[in-house]
Amino acid sequence: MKISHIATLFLLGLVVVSIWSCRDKVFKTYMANVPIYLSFEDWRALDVDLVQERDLEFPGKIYIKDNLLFINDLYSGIHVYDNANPASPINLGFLDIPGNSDMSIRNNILFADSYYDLLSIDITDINNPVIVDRVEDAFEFNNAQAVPGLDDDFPIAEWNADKGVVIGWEITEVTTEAYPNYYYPQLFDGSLGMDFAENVVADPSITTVGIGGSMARFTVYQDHLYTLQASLLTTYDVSQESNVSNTSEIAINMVGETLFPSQGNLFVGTQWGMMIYSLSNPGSPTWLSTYDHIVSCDPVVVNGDLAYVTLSTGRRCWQALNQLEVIDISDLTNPTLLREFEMTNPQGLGVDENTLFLCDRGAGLRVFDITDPLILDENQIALFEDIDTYDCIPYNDVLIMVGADGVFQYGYSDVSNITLLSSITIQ
Amino acid sequence: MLALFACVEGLAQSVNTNPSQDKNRVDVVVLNDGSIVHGKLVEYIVGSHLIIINLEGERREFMGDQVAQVNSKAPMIINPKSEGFINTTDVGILMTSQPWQGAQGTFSFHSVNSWQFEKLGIVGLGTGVEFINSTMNIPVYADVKIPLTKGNVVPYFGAFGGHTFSTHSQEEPLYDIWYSYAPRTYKGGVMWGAQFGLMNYSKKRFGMTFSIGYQRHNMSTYYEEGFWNGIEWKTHEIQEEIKMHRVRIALGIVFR
Repeated sequence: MKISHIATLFLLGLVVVSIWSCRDKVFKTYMANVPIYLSFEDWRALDVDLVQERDLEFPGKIYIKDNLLFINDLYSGIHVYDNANPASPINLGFLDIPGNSDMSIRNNILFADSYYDLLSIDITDINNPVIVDRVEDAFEFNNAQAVPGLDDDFPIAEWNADKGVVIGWEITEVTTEAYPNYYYPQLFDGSLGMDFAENVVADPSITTVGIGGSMARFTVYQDHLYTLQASLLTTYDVSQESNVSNTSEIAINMVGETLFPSQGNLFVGTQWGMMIYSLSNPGSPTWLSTYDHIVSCDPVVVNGDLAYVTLSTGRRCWQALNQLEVIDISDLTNPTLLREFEMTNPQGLGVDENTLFLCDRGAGLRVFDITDPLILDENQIALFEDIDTYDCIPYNDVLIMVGADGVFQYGYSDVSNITLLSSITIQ
Repeated sequence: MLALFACVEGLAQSVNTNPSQDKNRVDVVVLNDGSIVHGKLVEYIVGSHLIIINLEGERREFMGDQVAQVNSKAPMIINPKSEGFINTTDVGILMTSQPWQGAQGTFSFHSVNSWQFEKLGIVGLGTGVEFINSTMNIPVYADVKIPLTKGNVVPYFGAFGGHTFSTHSQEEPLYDIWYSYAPRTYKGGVMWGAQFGLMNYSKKRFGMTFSIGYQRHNMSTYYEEGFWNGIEWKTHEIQEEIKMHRVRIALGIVFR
């Protein structure tokens, strides 16, 4: 065989092998929700201003402080109302805080999250709020799909956290190499995003703290702020508002959902049960006990030696029961189930003395006399079927409720005859 | 591409169709008029003409109908006409080591009607049947072949480009990557490639062909895919484009 033959065959083989190793590639092109980014630098350079009032779109957490009513609009900011007269709340404006989903207030400092950061905002003059401190990267933000603006008719394109914070969405054509990665929006109906700090006015020493709802993930106790994100309970010393410092991080090994401080203890509602921490050392909560239950969405409120826990099914808690549980916490190290009551789809709840308000979605607002909590089902004072709400705050004979349609205030001086005082509806 | 060209050049040089390089050979040509010429054949195209250098060193040329018999150890130079219609039809296999949901080797049938220009090469239009991506497709393409030598065995380098049409109709179900029913609309797509091969003429108008080359397809389909938007199931349209690389090896016939 001639050398030219050998060379020819060698080169031929080389060409064939080169082509042989090429891999078929598949590309998919489709219209999708594409995130709109704001760079980290631009986002952190933003000031918080009280801008002109705007329409309520996605009501989230509510908070009451003095005569002010704060309503979170998911991932965009906080509406501020003068609520001195609940029958006629006055819209003062909107605190523009991109990425905000939670809040708590101590003295005149509003603690609010903004995507990854924890902001301390001085609201002494509500018309001129000032950021006095920022704890960067206090939170993980992996919930871009919860940022409002998604078009339900399209899937979500890939989100790149390195590009910045997501401030909105636009419909654009995208091309991806197979296999496509769809991020489906977790379109919270508000109940999951609702964070009402518990009623904490029982302790006069904390009257400088506002009032929230039963699904709070932020709460303040004395000089400390507690935040709950997924499985991490973080404690901040906020005694110096301009120098907020992290004092404790606790992995709770469960998916945490709600916080409720009461009588020097912190009650953490998780999807697998209720955990009780002692705040004898507020800077470092100490675990006392865990009350286990079936996997469920789980807000909790405490009234005296009893804890009221609602278990419900939903998008995030697709397996579970729908019921209200009454738990004896007289021995904090050994919480014990006393009674459970079947409900339709119980969400948030609030207690004012011997009256329990339960947001039972699908049924309405239930009002119980809990003088004898073990037979509360026999003492249902009222059922308001036309009220669709997922959390509420009872305070001074005014029941502030939040639902998919907005924020509603009802007078309950006569609990059997709750009357609508005012409404702030979404537009 | 340089490697491909080098392969063809090497192959071309290995094919010796010039009988005059055999220095010791004496060929004998018997003409119809009874005369006999001794010498060395330079070129003999059966039915066309014969060129011989006689023992005196003279170049003699005779028309094909003057030649009665040729006694020569030189291979008959069929060497088809350098211009005219030419058709190549072959059957081959499209191969890959990493197919997208398809077989690693699939059937391919091509037929190219061309015109051979003496100086430009062979230019034509081709069509055929191919099985790609689990569907039957019809390619339509422009084809160019550049013969590298003249003679019985003609290596060539070729290139082609066109469009592949799918024969699958809309609504025909095909399991997608999620193994769910997904009615698709098959649009076919562009195709192009290059090849080198050999045409081996055993007759004046007929021969065999062998080729090996690269073929690229961009095939498009459209279908509806479901997704969960957190509240309910929705569907949206997807355009799927598959960029396929194939090695094509084919064997066929050439006639003119």
